[in-house]
Amino acid sequence: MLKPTEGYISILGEDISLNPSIIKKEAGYAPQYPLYFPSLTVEETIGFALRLKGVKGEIYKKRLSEIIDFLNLGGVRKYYGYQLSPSLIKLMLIGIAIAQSNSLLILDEPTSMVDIVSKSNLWGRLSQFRNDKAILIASHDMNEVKKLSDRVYVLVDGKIIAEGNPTEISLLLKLPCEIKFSTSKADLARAILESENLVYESDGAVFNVSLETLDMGIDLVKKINDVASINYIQFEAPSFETAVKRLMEVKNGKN
Amino acid sequence: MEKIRLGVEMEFKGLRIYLFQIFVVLFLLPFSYLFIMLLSGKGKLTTSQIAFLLTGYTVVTLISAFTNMLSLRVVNAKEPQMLELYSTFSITFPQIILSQSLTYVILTLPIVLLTFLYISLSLK
Repeated sequence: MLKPTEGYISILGEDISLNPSIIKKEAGYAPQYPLYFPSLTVEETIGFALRLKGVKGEIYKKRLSEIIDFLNLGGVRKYYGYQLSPSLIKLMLIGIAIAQSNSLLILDEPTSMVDIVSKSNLWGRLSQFRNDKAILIASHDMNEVKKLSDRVYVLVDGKIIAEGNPTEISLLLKLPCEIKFSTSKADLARAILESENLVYESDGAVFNVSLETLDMGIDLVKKINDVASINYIQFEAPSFETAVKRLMEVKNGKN
Repeated sequence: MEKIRLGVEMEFKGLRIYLFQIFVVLFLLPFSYLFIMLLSGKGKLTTSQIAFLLTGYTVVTLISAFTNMLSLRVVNAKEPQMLELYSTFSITFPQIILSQSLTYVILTLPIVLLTFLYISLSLK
């Protein structure tokens, strides 16, 4: 463990530099890289995590099955580490973290290398822990952050440049939105766009408009739809990912 | 103590894919030494000479099996990715090293004990 250069970290009120054993007691950690013991099976690996925590007997068997079922690893429980794909290894590591943790789960890029279906399932499953455990996730996947996080900290060069819930982060900067729509009454739509002094491109009845903010985009769509019903629309609103990217660009620009 | 016992169990299970290496360092290398020494004696060895050779055999076993394999495992355990993997378990690094040492003591002890038993009985 590296010693903090400033500040402190506490788990359940205990400073970890004064009481490092609290980390192993309370926290479960899943590393970013797909690390594994090549000649231990999935159930042995997760089982050792449970047994090292002092879980024994019937409770051990029950907990082990629960974790394996929870992560949908039943089909590969007898597979050795070297037989697993990176995606399955990552799930196994999350299994170790769940077995190991009491009150805190630390997940470093939990779904990198995990296939889309498992990723989506895992997000749903991790959400179930919301009331039981604190979950600290380090991730570059903004969809994951948005889906799982109650509070987000954007770090650049080890410093927090923004914090808030995902919506608050998105609203930190005014971001443009792009709208592409088509209507059967192109003339009416064109008249509205011109009356609003908006810059647009049109190809027959298909229009492309850029607006400064999301609110402006929504208002425009409502207005056009009232007079010239929209039959196709493609809306690129400020995504959470774009917001974070812009924040980082702004921060880097200042440096 | 329970953690050390589990660490030893983990190490033994971890050796499943290294069975050939175990065979080589525990049997093939020491026995080849013994075989060559016995050949050089041309069948005219005294009990004390055999005891001397078996002592050499024990030393070879300890060096090739115990020291060699243990040092490899300790170096392997100190690799960053292994340290990170072990950090996910409720076991400390000294406990891991102690477990690995005990594992190789258990592996080499039968050979050493049998050899010493033979030497002590044959020299009576």
